This record gives sequence, C-alpha cells and structure tokens, in this order.
Amino acid sequence: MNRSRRQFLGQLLAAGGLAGLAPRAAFAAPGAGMIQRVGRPLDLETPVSAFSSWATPTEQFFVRSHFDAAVVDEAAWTLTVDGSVRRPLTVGLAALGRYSEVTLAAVLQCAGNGRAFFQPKVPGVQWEKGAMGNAEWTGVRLADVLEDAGVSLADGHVVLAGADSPMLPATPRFERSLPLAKAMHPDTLLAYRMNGRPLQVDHGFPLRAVVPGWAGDIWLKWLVSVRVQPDEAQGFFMQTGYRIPREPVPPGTDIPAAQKVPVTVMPVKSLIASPRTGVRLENGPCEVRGVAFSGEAPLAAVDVSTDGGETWRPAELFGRADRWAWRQWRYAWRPEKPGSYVVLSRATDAAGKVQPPHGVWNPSGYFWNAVDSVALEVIA
Amino acid sequence: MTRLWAGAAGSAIAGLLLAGWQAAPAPPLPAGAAAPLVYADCQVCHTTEIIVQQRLSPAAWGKVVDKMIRWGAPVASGDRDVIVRYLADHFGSD
Repeated sequence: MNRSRRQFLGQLLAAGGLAGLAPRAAFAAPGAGMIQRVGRPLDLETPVSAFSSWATPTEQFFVRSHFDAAVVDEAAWTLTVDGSVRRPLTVGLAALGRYSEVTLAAVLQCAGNGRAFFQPKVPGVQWEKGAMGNAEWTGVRLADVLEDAGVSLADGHVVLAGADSPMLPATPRFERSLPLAKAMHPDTLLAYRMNGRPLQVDHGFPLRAVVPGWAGDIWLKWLVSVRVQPDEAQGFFMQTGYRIPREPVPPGTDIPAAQKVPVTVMPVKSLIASPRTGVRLENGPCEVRGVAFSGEAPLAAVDVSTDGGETWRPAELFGRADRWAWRQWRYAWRPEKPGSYVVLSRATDAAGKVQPPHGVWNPSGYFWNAVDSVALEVIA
Repeated sequence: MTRLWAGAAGSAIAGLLLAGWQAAPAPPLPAGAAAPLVYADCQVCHTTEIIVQQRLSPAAWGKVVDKMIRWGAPVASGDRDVIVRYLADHFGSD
C-alpha cells in the first residue's frame, strides 16, 4: 500500500470508519510540525520545541525508515524465534500474553542524530537535533521469550529482522544483531505499545525491539524474526553500515569496515529546548531548560554556560528519574546586560564522561554529542 | 441520503487531513543533462530530498552511486560517470 493510501486509511480509521481492519492507533498519522527529512522512505524529525516536555508525544516522535513501512495484518502476524534454541517458537500477538508485561520509559535516538553538524560533511540523512525522543514502552522481556525457547548457547548473538522489504531484490534487508548478554537484559523488550497505545505503523506495528541505552538501529520495527546464533548478523547493515571506528580517525578519512565496531551504547548528551536559537529576549529572568541522558551510565549532572563556555554553573535536574529515560533540567538565568549571548549546556554521566566541545567526527556521522548551544539576543 | 453521508464523511476526512503532518512534495532537481537520469534511476527507491541535502566530494558521490548500483539502481552502464559528475557539481562539498 502506498503512503497516501495508507494515510487516507489512517484518517478514515481515526475518524472511526472501517473499525476492525486494524487498531485505530496503529494507523494514526504523525502530527503537524514534523520536519520532513525524506518523504520516501519516511524520515521525520521532531522539532526541538517538543523537548520542553519529559514525554515526547507519539505524534511528534521522530520516524526513521530504511524502506517503506511494513503494513502488517495483525491477525496473520507471527514472530518466529529460532536458531540455536531447543524449542523454536512461532507466536502471534495474543500468545505474547503468556509472558509478564513490562512498561519502562527510555530514550530512543537515531545513531545519525546530529549528522548534519559534522564537518567535513558525511553521506546520510542530514538529521539536526530532533532524531530522538523519550517514550514509555510496553511489552514483554526478550529474555522471557528466549528462555521459553531454550537458548542453547552460553555466548552468542540475537539477530532481529522485520517485515519491511527493500524496493529492489539486490538491496540488502535490514537486519541487525545484538549480543546475547544485552538481549537477555531484563529491560530489553519486545514492545507492542508506545506511550500507552498500540504502536503506530511508522513506529513498528505490531511489535518492535526496545533496547534501552543503545542507538535506534537495533530497536527493530515490524519485528517478525528473532534468531539466536554464534556470530553477529552478516548482512550489510551489521558488517558495513552502522559501524564506527573504535578510536577517532582524522576528519575526512575512512578505514575498512572490518576495523570498525557496531554502534551500540549512546554517548552522554544534553539539549537546550528553550530558549531557541535566534530569539530576542526582553532583559529579565530567563529559564534555560532542556533534556539530558546517557547510554548505559546514569546521567549525573548538567552544567550551563551563558558566556560561550568561559564559565559553567550547575543546572537543576528535575522531574522523573527513570533509569533509561532522559532527565529534564533547568537553569535560572538573569542576563547581566543586553547583548548577544551564546548559551551552552553540557552533560556529565556517572561514568565521568562529559559532552565534548565538538562532535567526534566519524565517516558515517554517528553519535554527534557536542555541547549544545543557542545564540540569542537580550534586548533592553 | 447516501450523498449527504458521503459529503459529511468527506468533510470530516478533509478536516483531519489538515490537522496532521502533511507530506511535502519532493524538491525538484537542478536542470542538467543528467537530471532525468537521476529522477529515473534514484526515485525507484527514494525521493529527491536525500539527494539534495548531501554535500559530498566527487569521490564520495562515486562511492554512494556505486553502492546504489550494487543495490540494484537501474543505472545504464554509460550513465554512472555522468550522474556522479552532475551530483558533485550540484551537491558538492564546499
């Protein structure tokens, strides 16, 4: 089904028509204000203004697609669990009800978020700041499903594959794998709800992986296959794509993919949600606020500079402090005098990692996490 | 009556269409001898945004186009260099 027809159906369903064809939420369309990076396959970026709140509304959540979204018939959909397991499984959605249900909040961020800021430029979707979001995910533990299937390896990898297909037969399918240890982590989920409602088509209906702390490339959508095997997935998207040099390389240079490692744990990052860059503020109290998170180490602190990085003062962390979600932060700023200001935010995690002043250049433009900055005017 | 219902449903749908995100048309490519080739060979899989937002050297464009040919882009054998030159001319690194 092409996008316009799918959207049309989505609107009909949202309006209450064709009830029963699919859950209404599954066909709901993205909301107004999304930044269209690519129309087909669909890549939508969240406007920074959405990061003033802890939860990113589903309608404003970024969308990243390698191929056209799979439109799955819920009644016919199954998940197969096979490979190095003693009891291969094929389960439908209802059968997932035999496992304990878990809800957790976690940041989902595209590995390429911020790619547009790297110099020299690198190929790929030129995401700026909004290929990330914070949502509540509900589903079952991948570990429970794998235990049910009886994993017969002590060490290995779990290959995830979705129902989406490339447009051409020669184009590699999108498959990724994660090490068994991360797959068995109790917070790694197979999720069927996002922010309390069934997944939307563009977010992987009916089932997607949730791999907290890791970049979005392993949060596979439209999941249909979980395979346990001794080695990493062998396809393009594991062995060539989504890899990063272990140590930084000189900007503008590349090294063979075999010498790179898969992108996994997200680096520490903060973002200023308000004020926005380019604004003119009346001279008076101004609250600087935003969000911050890290991959596997908890967030420890956010510092703010209002003089372009000369001096830093601690921001206040507030709101929910869930393990894998982002923290909100705020800083009460009182500009001393009218003029031009560059306001910066810099996060530090519990492992002592600090946001660097510049993004660490790499050939595919992953994991941009430079200190965030906004330039603004304070007027008399 | 049927027509009334259809009209009401049509209005409701039109209202909803206005409320959500609307796909923007893909940007046109700059004029050039290779533009029709790029439209024909690249839009099989993706719209033009992903092309026009790149700023790459001729060598980097060559790698991208070669990857797409390996992935099945229907580029005729004599067109590869023309396409790479066009892309590097219009969407080159500064």
